[in-house]
Amino acid sequence: MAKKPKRQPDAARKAKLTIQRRTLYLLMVFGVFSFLALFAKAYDLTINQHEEMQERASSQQTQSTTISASRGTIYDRNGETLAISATADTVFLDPKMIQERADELDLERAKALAEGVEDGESLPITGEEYKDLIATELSRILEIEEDTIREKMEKTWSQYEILKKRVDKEIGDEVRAFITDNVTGKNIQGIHLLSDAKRYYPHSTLASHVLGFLNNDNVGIYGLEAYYEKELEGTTGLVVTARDGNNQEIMFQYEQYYDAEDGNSLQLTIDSTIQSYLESGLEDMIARFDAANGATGIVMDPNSGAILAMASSPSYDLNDPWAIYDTRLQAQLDELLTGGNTEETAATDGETDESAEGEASEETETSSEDATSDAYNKLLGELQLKQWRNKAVNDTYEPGSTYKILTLSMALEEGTVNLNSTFNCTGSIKVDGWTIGCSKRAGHGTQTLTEAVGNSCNPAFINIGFSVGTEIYHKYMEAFGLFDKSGVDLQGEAVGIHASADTFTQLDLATYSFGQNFTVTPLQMIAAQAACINGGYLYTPYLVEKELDGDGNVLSQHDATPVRQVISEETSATVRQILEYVVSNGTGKNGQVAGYRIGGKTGTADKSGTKDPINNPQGDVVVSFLCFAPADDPQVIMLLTMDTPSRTTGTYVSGGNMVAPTASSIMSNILPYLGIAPEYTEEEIGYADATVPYVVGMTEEEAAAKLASYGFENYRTVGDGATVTDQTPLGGAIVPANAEIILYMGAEKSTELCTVPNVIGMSASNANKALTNAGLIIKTTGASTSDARVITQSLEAGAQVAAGTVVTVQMGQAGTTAD
Amino acid sequence: MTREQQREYKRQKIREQRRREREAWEAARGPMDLPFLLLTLILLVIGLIMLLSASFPSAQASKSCNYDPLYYFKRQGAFALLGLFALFWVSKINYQRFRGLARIAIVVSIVLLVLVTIPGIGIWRNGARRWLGIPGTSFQFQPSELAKLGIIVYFSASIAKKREKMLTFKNGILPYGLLLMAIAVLMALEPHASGMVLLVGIGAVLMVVGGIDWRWVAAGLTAGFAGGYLMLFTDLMEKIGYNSDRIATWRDAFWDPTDKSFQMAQSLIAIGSGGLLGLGLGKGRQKFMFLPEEHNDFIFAVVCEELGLVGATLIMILFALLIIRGYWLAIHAKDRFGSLLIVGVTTQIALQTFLNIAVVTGLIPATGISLPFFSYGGTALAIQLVEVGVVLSVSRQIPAPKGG
Repeated sequence: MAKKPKRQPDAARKAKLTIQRRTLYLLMVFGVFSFLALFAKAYDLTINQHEEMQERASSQQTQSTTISASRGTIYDRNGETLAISATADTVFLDPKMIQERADELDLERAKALAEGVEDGESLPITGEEYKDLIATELSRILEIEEDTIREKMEKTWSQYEILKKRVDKEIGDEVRAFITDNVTGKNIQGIHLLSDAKRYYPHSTLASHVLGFLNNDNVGIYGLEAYYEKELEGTTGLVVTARDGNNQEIMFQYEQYYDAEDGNSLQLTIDSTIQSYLESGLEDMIARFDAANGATGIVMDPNSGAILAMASSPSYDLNDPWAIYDTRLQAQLDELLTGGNTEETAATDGETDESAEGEASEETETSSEDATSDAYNKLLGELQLKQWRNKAVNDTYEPGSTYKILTLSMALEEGTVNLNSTFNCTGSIKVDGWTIGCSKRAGHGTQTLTEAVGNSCNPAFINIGFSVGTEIYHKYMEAFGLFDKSGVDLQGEAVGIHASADTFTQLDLATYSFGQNFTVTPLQMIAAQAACINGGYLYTPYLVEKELDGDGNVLSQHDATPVRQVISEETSATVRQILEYVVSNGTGKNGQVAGYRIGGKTGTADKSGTKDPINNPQGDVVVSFLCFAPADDPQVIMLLTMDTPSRTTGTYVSGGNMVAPTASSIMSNILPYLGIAPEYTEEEIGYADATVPYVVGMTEEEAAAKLASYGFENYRTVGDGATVTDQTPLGGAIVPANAEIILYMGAEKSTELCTVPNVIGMSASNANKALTNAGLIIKTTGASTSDARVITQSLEAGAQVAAGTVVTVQMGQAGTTAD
Repeated sequence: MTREQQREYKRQKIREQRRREREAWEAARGPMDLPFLLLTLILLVIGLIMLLSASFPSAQASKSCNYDPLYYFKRQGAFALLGLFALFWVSKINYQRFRGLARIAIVVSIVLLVLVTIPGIGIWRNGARRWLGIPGTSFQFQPSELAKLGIIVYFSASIAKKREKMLTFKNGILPYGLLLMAIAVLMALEPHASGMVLLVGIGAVLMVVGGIDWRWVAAGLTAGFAGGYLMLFTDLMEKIGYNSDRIATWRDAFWDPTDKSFQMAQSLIAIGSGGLLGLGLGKGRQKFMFLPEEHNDFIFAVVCEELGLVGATLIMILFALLIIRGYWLAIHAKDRFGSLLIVGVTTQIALQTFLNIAVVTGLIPATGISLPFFSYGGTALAIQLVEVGVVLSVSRQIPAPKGG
């Protein structure tokens, strides 16, 4: 502090103080307050508005590309593929780009011409030629009208015109080849392919209602495809990449990759062989009886609820679900068209193709009046819905007499009736002032319980129902699962109409006891019926046995635990015994299968609301047949229904006459297939099948011994050689053991064709004679009682076939008894 | 007085003069203020790093940058080095010498500002004439950047002389007011609104600090606030037919996010998506052709996106410390001229920092003001560093604190 600061003049000091003070204010304003304001704003943006801004940021900064997952495969119970996905290509045009390229070509051409290039190799084609080239080639490859392609090409403002969706890989490859390798020597611009998945159903129509199909977006909309959509579809993968403001990918920026997870596969309970037996059986039955509203069939394992086959008619082709498949339905369409405008028939053919895209309604811009096409599309839509409908699950019906099994079971379980009970039928019964008639107007007289079931006697069943009483009866119906969805793994399951517990009257009980005035689905019905014969256990019917991952590992397995036990094992055994009687001696005789013990029950049910005394005095009916085998230890149960069979086929309208023979024929295929060995009674032995041994090269003695050891007693020789040179049927053929084997001893096998005789109406032995004489082999199925007659023959009378051909004849009784 | 006495007196006078000269020289050789220097260097380094991060995508995509991702960074780095040399050189000059340069500086500034408005001389770019080229070189600069320094030096020198005369209208308001108006007109001719705001703002602040009557300050502030209020919170602008897209954008940055408010929207998205901690240095996404001017006026949005609120706050704190230190130096400067010089420079940094960040965050309507040490711009950066050199030069002559 040696030096004193130089003293400044007052004014200067004052001025400096002012500056210092005011600078201090500035320091506060610019150094502190302004930054507080900035911080507050920054805080608001980065913290409070963070999420909103982040969302905006990621929506503009990222682009995501989906990686489609492969849809799971559907297998039947034996691993047979029922539905599988494969890659397919959707072909589309970029008309804008095509136009640009065409203009470019014109320019190039003009330039080349100006430069004096002669027409030839180096001269570019004109723009118009370029377009023609695309139109003709794509028309050829994709099988689309050239005009359609030209039309789409004219939409030069567009960049996306679909030509054909989901074409097979081979066709896609052909398009690719055309793009890269063509007469212009350069890549064709403006044709694009988009990889997509296509669902293939190798068996086309088989189990169509069970499997269901996908819509345009590859989402299951019917059947299992819909019900198991989540499991089958897998998880679509996603690649999220950063993009810049010019929509370019930022390569070195982050990239997130979410793996696509392929869908899981399903292993069904369906057996495609049994399914095909069932479907062809139904088809034959509908054709024979001209059923107006189709038919349903369910084959189930009664001991687990596993559905072995489920069919509904009319059916459709899963590979082309929008096309009307059933000829009966197609006839309705044709009728509309011919009735309206004949010219349109030509248009319809193209139409069906288009309808595969599901855009049939849009595409129908034909020259004809709109009204016709409107009506056409309306009808088409209705028919499509009709053919897609799984009537076994989605529709309800009045079950009729097959339901009597349940009434029987309840009463037996409650002990209100037993095998010694007797019932007197006078032909009708009065309930609460209403008279309810029996199908046999004269009355069945006095019957035992077993006989009453065998006769399907309504008055007897009313009494059986009454013996149980309304309250308990109603509870049993509920216990049998008739009031709830069966729980099957299909969507759209229907539930029928029934009286509630407190409105359930004695009169209701009277009609319910023989299966009328309430409705159930066929599936509910068979599940309840299975409970009656399997020891009393109600199972949830199901279609998917296992869910498998891509490597075939089992992810989940169906748990076949019964829902509840409704009746006791003993009661169930009694029910089986009575139902076996129905087939052996009662209304179900036509359901017999030689070599097997079959239990069953017929049904002919009035359809609710159809008893219109003026228009429909007879009333439309649903005929049905329930059967199971073997009767003492049921392994398989089957319920067939047929809606509104024709009354003019000559066959008495009843389940026993119409449905039971079909059931028998189906069962005769299913039972051996399932490995259930037949046991033939003495009179049935001729029905037993045996495999013809190979005897060529043997002497007659050797051959006879060999044939005998295989069960063939009858043979005859042709020619006089020492050894067998040929045989009919050939070795390995499976024919009834009573067939006559022809051994050619050096003689040429006759190449002459045999004419199939008409054997319908003959007894089994007469039919055998007739066919054997014709050089054919008979195989009988169905009823084996002595009064059985041939109902159908597998080859039409008059057909020319090779000698030794097996003709299957269905035996039955062309009775007039109602169920 | 004898000859001896006279000689002795002369010698004494010479000694006195030498002593004074030595004193003055020694004073200029005092230690420069390290905190101010360090804060400047830290901000400069961070600024360069952020410029690199923000500018490489657009540089890489731009033909005018030869697709060189380091294009902007290299140029800015070169100017930073040049600026640092200038900083140290200027800091060694005794700032008293600037008094003599004051008139020349303001005259040169005004001449250049006149020149730049003349078509054919000023370079027309983006709808304005703001650049001058030096003939024979590719070097270009904005005269308005130079004018800032000119105004600071001239106002400081002039006001320092006036003491209490500043209170009068004739001495305190009129000359500076006229000068600022002239400059404002020149800036309006370019046009260059943000430059006008800064130049007039610096001048006005120097007048205020220099001691003009508080009533003028009050009148100015009242007028400013009233004008601001009318512009921003009423529909006056719409009524007089002014296209108020900027104001509409200020009110809602997403009113036309694909066109008119695109830049603001992108800025807010960048800042907001940064969140608390940011996406990480260099990992911002908005700079990829989304945010325009990302290496320039909107570089702070990239800072927020990549470094988050934490990083942005840290940088704002560094700026605040620099500004506080600047004003602290001004308060402690040896004389009024020194104080005013530092106030001018510090105010310029403070105004630019505040206005830039306020615009980027949407606190005020958009104007194009760059962020000191961060935004791309060679001349601006070099001049900022020269100005820091001026501050440091003044700081050398601050008397050592007493005691201790």
